[in-house]
Amino acid sequence: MGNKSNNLLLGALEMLVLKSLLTEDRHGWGISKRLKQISSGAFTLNVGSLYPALYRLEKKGLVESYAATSEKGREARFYKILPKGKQQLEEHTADWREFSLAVEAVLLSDS
Amino acid sequence: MIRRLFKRLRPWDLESRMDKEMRFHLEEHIELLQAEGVPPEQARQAALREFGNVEFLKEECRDSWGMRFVDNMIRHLQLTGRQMKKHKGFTAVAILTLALGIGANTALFSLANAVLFRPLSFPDSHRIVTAREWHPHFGEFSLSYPNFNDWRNQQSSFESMGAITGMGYDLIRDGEAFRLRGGLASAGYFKAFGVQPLMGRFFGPEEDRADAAATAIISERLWRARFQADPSIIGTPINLTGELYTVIGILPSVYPLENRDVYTSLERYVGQGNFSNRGSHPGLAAFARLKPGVTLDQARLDLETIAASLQPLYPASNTDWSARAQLLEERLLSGSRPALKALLAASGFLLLIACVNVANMQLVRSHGRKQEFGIRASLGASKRQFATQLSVENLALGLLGGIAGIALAYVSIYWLKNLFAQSLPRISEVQLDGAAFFYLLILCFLASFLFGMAPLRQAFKSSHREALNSGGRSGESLQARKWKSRLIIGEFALTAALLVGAGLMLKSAANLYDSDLGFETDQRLTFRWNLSGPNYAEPEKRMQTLYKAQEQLRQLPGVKDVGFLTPLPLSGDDSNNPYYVEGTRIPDEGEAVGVSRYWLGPNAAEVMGLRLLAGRVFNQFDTRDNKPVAIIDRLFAEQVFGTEDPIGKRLVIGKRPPEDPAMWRTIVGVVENTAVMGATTEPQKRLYVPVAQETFRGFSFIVQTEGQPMALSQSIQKILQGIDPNLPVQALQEYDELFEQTISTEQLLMKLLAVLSALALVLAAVGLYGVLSYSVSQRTREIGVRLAIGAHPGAIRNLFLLDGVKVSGIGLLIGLGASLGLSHFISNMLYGVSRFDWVSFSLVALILGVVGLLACWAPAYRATRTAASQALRAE
Repeated sequence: MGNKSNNLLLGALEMLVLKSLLTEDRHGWGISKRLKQISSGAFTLNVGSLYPALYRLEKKGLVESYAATSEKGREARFYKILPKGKQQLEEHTADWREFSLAVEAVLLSDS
Repeated sequence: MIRRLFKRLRPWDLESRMDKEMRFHLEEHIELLQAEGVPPEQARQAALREFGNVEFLKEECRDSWGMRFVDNMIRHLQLTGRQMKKHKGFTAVAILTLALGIGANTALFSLANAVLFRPLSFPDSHRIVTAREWHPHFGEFSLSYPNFNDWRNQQSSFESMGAITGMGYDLIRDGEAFRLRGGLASAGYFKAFGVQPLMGRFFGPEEDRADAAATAIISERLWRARFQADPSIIGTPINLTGELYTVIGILPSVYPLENRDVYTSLERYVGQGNFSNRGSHPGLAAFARLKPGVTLDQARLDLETIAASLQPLYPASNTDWSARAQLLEERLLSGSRPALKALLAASGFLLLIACVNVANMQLVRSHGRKQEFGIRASLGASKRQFATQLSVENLALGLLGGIAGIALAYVSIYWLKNLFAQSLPRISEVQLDGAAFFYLLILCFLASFLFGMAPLRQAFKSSHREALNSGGRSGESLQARKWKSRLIIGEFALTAALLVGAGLMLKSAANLYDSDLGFETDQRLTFRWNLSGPNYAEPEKRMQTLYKAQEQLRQLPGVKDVGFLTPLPLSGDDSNNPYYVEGTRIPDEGEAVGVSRYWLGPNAAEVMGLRLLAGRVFNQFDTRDNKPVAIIDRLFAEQVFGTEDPIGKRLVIGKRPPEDPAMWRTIVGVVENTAVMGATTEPQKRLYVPVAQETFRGFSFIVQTEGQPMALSQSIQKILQGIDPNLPVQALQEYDELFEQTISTEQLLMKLLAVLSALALVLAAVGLYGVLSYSVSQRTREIGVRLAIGAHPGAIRNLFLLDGVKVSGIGLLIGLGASLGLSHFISNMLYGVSRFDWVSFSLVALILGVVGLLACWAPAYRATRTAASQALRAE
């Protein structure tokens, strides 16, 4: 399992970011707020990881970015999920489910 | 996709985008916190805290974006700059070493490029063909005019075909005569080159006629030098050897047309009754331009078929005579190609040696840098980063070496141009052009790769821990020492091979220089004197004038003796004559019996220093009134008479016994063989006849002097002017100089190879010395310990000596072994030396052995001078 799980873990942040973009296009600040919100404040996203993750996603062609004005009239950069991103998110979600079930099975076994 | 690429290519866009994006995030966060009631300053602090190290974050983003490369390159370059500044000595020596190799290679490449690879400056120069006749015995031979005419009329491969032969003229202006090299050419000759006249026109059909008007084409050089580039020269008559010719055109002076100054009609000359004999070959060469789409092979077949069809028609003159055609470019190159290739190879060796040296220096240094790499590795630098850093350093060194090499190449090219001014075609076109710079750039990369390979491998092999542990402690790793040994072996092998090549060439050149010509050239001066014009139509008058000149010259103080003859040995002129020896079988039609003939004036044999083996030389009684006589050389005597005594035998020039018995020539003497066409050519049978019995217009004088020959040139010219002011004295020079010209290519090659080998030897010595003395200094501690526990200093010295000798010895053996094979490539340039010449091989072994020993001895000696305590303290 080793390698695959590693990849999954590394991709977790990217998955969350993609997920947050499914409903609407957001800027970096919006993504961090949204993630805090849907995890019910369970985790505060580290800004230091968010932006590199966004740049990585854009480079991979999963999202694209464009400049626009924010709801408060500030100039901001919005991110939009691309079809390739949606597809990846679906695959990763399935993988993730499989992975978490496997972990659970191990952790909850009686040995 | 394209947009992404575009973004990626503009790092400044990314920077401003990052700035904006993060500022926005920060401001929103602060606003949010303030809205929650946090005081402004605290909100700001909190937001910033969440961001962490902004620079670090940006770095991460750049990484994600793939900006790392540019960034890293800048950092690697900065580091490289710092390294170079820190190790100025190393950098300077490395750059100089590389400059030497790269510069020498670039210079020789430019030379080879101009001489070997660049096409001629004519339109479609690859379509210009030159053709001659060919005979299984004589090899290539000049064309006879009637054969040329048949070729020209029957061929179907060429757009145009013409012929040319040399013809000397005296240009007479204002009572002064200038000797010109000229040619008799047909119209097709100029068309074959496709060159346009500078002014006027070239020969056309009206000149290709026996009854053509007397017209001439002059060279651009002559036009500028003698006619002050006056355009009105077109249509003006000029006096060539007493006859008036109208100038109709000016030929631009381009290689290889630049060596003649005046052209007159070939067909007009033929019409005057010369050259019409099919059996005589008056030096004609055909030049032709291939029709588009026709290949050289097709053209060859065409000419060979025509030549074959002429054989049954003219059996007396044409039996066995075929045709040989060649591309002009091919023909011009064939002489200088092997020499240039040898030089290119030698300079390639030099570059390799330079690379090995720099690699060695780097290995030595990388050992010193181990600690630096160790620290950086433990701080998280990857092996890839080391490799990149080393590669950047290597490339920087290579490129700097290249830049310094440009300067060296400039100087070398200047030097080469002077050196080869006389002996290489197109030398004036040599320059550092785009192709040379491109070549130089490739060399830089190649060199960087070559000398960088060993240190890179080393960097990859050694682990960080080992590096940190061993830093400054136990000395070199076994790995590094092995690499260094290998490099030294390689260096010595390369140097040995180069030295063997140079040694063979040197010996060959020395042989040429000392080769027995069979006559003397030192303390002698020669010049050519043509008795041209109607005044000298009578042979009697010519002989009187020649005797008069000889007598007056002999009276000059400082002159020992004077003689005249034709042709002058070593001048390149020669003749081939059929002969028949009384009582032998009459040769069949077409059978080749040829002897080269020399006409000697009174005393000429003595002045030349011909060595008499039997009989006598000519004397004053060998005149027209007495029976014809001849002298033959040893080769003739051996080949024709074997063990019989040739003295008193009779022969005749011609293929059969003469109808008039008075024509028989009696052999009166046998002389030693002479090398005449040039010292490198095979010996040929020779026949000498007295001038008094067969005379010409042009003769060469040989003046034997007591002191410096050229000191007499003024007085000699004065005497000849006194006899006839209209007869120019031509080609006045020391006979020795003429000899040196005939061997000049070999000599130059020898000089260049000697220079290259000397450089290689110095590099190899420096390399060995540097590496050994470094390894001594690295092992100071070991030496100290050994001394402390009672080792004898001599034993330690021997240890190091043995080390160096072993390594250089192996290299030497490999190099000598390789030379046995490599010398094959220069074997056809060697004169009188076997390519396995043991003297050259042992001499190289000796020189390299001594150099190797010296390079080892100094560090070994130093090693033992180190006192034990000092050695231990050293670290």
